[in-house]
Amino acid sequence: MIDNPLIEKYFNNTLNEKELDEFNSLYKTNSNFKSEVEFIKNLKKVTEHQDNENFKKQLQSYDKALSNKHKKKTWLKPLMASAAIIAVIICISFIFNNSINEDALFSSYFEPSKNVTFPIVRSDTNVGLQNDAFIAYSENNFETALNLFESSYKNTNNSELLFYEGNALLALGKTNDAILKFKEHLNYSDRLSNRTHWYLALAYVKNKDLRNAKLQLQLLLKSKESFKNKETKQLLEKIE
Amino acid sequence: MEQHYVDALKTENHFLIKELYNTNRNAFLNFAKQYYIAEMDSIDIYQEAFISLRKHAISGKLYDIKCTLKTYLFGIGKHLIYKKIKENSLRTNFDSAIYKVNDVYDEIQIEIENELTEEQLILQYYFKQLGKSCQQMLTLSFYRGLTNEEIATLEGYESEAVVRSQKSRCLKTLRDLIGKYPKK
Repeated sequence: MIDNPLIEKYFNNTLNEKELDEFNSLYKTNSNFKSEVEFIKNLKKVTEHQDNENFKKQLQSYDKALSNKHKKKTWLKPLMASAAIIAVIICISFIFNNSINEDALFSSYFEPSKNVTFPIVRSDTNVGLQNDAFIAYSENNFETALNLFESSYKNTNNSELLFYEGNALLALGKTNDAILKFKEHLNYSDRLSNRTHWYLALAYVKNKDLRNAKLQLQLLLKSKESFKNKETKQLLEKIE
Repeated sequence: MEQHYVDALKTENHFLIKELYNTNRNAFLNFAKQYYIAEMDSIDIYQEAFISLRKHAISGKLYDIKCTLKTYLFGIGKHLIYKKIKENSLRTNFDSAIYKVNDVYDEIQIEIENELTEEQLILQYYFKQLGKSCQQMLTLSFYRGLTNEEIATLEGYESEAVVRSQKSRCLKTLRDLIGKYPKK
């Protein structure tokens, strides 16, 4: 284990000069210390390698989405010109009536919540519905995750699952369903209840319902929850 | 420098990363066309350049550069394009000098990624057996160099102490796996 704080500081680049001397001396004289440092060095390399591989897959998924979009669009070409004209008219009226671009606001603030509930296990043996749900969720496979969360909620009545269901719905663009799910979650008081205000507010922003969005952001601030505190204040300023 | 994109690359803000990726993608593919690179290769090169861009964001290099992110990204891309031309020319005896194109992007050299050693490959095998949250925890801590406080904020853990104990549990699980199922 990293029982020695010097090792942790070394990998965070936060050793001061005195600590660095101590680190070097231990590295030379203490074989356990040295092997721990070497283990973490290798682990660092492995995590870097793995992280880059995952990132590459993420980029490939962007490309895939782009080419699918392109394929879908080809038959639409004759309609594009008229659609463009209508879009310009809508944009002009939008600019004159409202200077807030809700879609852009939503996109810049929304990211599905991380899994902070259930440490998942990857194994060939079946370790449960909830585990599978969170695996699908962590892989952005929201359709599958949603079904699994629903079944898992029926079995366990774990109200925190509603929070993730809401997030999956929001990520899938099913904003109205997400709003209903988050409201359902707010009937319970669990570790994630306050966080639901943030995602519910974003869902309202997406639906251009800024009055309710403001209300949810204010509720989050009142709850004294530190989660997204800076972003909550920023967003409130932007929509006020 | 577009600070918010640099932060997004470091903290995995998928929406902003996607926006940055999509915004520059077509321009890069057109840029690569000048070098007669096939589109499939151009996409691959663009992704490699993007991965390097993120590495430089994580290591803090991007905070010191004076140009735009696009210029930097295309500079790395140009380096990778030359590398590709060189590879191709080895196969076809082609003179890459004729590919010299005048453009506004200075080539940016990047470090060659070393392959994993045998010891690291074994460690990688066990690392992949860990749950996603443990993999993420160790990655944030060791590769990204985030402090426990930063991980708590980013991942929504209650406190620094929770991160510390979770990280310790993950390392123990990894060591137990290595001890329990030594790879032949």
